[in-house]
Amino acid sequence: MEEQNSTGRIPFFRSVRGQYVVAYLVIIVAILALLNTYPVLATQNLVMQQSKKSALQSQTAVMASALVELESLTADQVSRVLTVLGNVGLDRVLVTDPTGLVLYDSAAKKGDGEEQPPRYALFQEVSAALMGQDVFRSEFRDGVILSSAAEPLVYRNVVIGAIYIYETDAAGGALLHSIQSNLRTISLIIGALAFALSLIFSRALTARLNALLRAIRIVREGEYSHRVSIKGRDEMHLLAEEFNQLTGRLQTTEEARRRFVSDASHELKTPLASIRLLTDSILQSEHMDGETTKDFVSDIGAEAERLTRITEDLLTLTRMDGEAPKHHMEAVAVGQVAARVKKMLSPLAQAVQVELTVACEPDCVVNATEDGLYKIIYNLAENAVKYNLPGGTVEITARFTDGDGLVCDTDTATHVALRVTDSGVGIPEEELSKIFDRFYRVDKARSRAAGGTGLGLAIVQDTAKQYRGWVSVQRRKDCQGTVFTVMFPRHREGGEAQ
Amino acid sequence: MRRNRAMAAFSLLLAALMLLSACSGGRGEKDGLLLYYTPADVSGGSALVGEPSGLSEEEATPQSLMAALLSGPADAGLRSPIPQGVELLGTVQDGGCVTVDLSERYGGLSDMELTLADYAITLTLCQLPGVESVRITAAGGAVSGRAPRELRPDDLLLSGEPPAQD
Repeated sequence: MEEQNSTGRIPFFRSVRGQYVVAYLVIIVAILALLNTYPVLATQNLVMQQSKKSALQSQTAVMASALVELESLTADQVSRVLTVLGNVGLDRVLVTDPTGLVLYDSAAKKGDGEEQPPRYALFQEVSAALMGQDVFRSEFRDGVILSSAAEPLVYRNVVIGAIYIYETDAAGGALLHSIQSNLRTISLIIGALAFALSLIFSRALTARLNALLRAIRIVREGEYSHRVSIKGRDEMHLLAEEFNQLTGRLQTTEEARRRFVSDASHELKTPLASIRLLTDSILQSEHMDGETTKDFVSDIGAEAERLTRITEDLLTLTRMDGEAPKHHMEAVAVGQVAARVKKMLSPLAQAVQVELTVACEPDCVVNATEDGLYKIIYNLAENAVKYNLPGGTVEITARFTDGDGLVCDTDTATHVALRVTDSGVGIPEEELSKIFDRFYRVDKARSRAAGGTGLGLAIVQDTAKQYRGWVSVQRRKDCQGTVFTVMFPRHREGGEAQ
Repeated sequence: MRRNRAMAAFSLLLAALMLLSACSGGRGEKDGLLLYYTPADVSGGSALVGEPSGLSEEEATPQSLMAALLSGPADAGLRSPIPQGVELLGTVQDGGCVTVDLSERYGGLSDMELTLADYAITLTLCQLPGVESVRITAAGGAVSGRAPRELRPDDLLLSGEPPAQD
C-alpha cells in the first residue's frame, strides 16, 4: 500500500477516473433499462391489450349473436352456423353447452370417419364464461401474440353455452419482437458508446489532475521553479493558478533562506578568517616585536567582538522569527529612552564631530518594552551618527500624529511618530527598498569599517512590527541626508494601545 | 489459516445445501398425489389445479384421498368445486373403476359446477394405481338427473391452445 501511494498508482475503481466512469455508466445503464422496459410495456399494452381485446371481443359477439338465434345448441346446428360465418383468421373456435361439453371445436382432428368422443372444455376461460363472465387474455410469447376471448351464450337471461376463440398473431408478434430487438441493439450501441465516451471524458478530467499531482511531486523534491500549466476556465485552472502562486512564494522564501544562510555564513566566516590570519601571523613570526603583537591581538579582539555582535543580532532576529514574543509590553515614554540613547552615543558623536539632539513631545508613550524601544532608537541613531559627515547633525524627535504620520492634536492623535533625521551621506533612491533586508549594506567597506553587522535595520523593522508599528525611510528634500520614521500606536490610559 | 477456515465453511455449507435438496426431494415424493381444486382468479390454463395432498401412492386409498379432497384446499388461491357439507358415503372399486357415493347435497350441483366437481374427483382418484375411471352417485342415485357414467381424465380439454399441427 505504501509503495503504491509513493508511486502514485491507485487501483482503477478507487481512482477519480474510475469513480467517474462508474457513475457515468450507472446513469446510462439506468436510462437504458428504463428505455427497454417502459416503451416495450407500453407497446405491449397498446398493441395487445387494447386493440386485440376489442377485435376479439367483437368477433365473439358476432358469433354469439348468431348462435343464440338457435335457442338451443346442438353440435350440428352450431357447426352449420359457424361454417357459414367462417373462422375469420382464428386458430380455434370452440362452443360448449352449459355443462362445458364441447359442441363444436374447429381444431378437433377429423379423420378416418371416426366419431370424436365427447369432451369437456375445462379450462379457465370457458369455465369463467359459463359462470357469466366475458374473458379476454393475451400474452406475448416466443415472438408471437397469443390471444383468447370467451363469452357466455345467453338466451332470455339463461346461459345456454359458451363460445371461446383463440388467435395467434405472428405479424403483431414480429412487430413487437422487432421493436424489442431494435431497442436492445440500440441500447447495446449506446452502452458501448457511453463506456467509450466516459473513458475519454474521464481521461480528460484526470489528465489535468495528474498533471497537478506530477507538479506537486516535482516541487516536493525541491524544484521550486516548476510551474504547472492547466488550460481552461474551471476550478482546475484556478487550482493550478493557486498552486503556481504558492510555489512562487515557496521559491521566494527558499531563495531568501539560501541567501540569508549564505550571507550569514559569509559574515561569520569573515571575522573568523581574520582571526585565523592574525593568529597564524603571530605564531609563524618568530621575531615579532611586542608592539606589533599587541596590535595583532587587539585586532583579534575587535574581530571577536564583531563576531559576538553578529551572533547576538542573529539570535535576536531568530527569536523574533520564531514564536510570538512572550515579553510583557508596558507603557514606555519615548522621550526617556531617547535621552538614554543620546547619553550612550554622545562620546561617539563627539568623536566624529556630529551634533546629536533629542526633541520629544511630552507624554509620548507607546506600548512596548524598554529594551526593544531602546534597540530601535539606538540602531537608528548609531547609523545616523556613523554615516554622517563632520559637522553634521542627528535629530531624534517624537510627535503625536494620525495614522498617516501627519502631526495633529494630542487629543485626536492615534499614533506616535519617532523620527531620526540626519544630514549624513544619504541613501541612493534605488537602495531605499532594500536597506531593511538582512545583511544588506549600501556601502560595504564603510559598514565594515564602522563595525556594522548588516542586521541593525532588519532588527529595527522586526521589533517595530512586534509593537504593531512600522518603519519607513525617505531621503531628505532640503539637504543631503536621511529620515527614518517609526510609527507606533499610541498608548492610552486603560491599558491597550489604539 | 484464514483461507483454510473459509474453505472448510464453504464445503460445509455446500454439503448442507446438497443434503437439504436431497431431503426436499424425498419430501417431494411424499407429497406426490394431488388434490384438484379450481383457482379463484382467471389467469389462463386448466380450470382444475392440483395441490399436494401429503399422501403417497403407497399409503393412499380412494377413501383417504376423497376425505382429503372433501376437507378443502390449504392454498387461499384455490377453492373447492364440491360444496361444503358434502359427505363421503362410500367408495367401491371394481377393477379400474371406482364408484364414489356422496351425500344428497352433491346432487344439488348442475351444469359447469357439476362438471368441475365431477372431474376434480376423477382427476384426484385416477392418480391411484389401477384406477382408470370414476363413477359418481349422490346417495346411491343419479346426480342431477344424469345417468351415472364413467368419467375419465381423457374426457377433458384442459387448455384452449389448439393442438400442434402434424
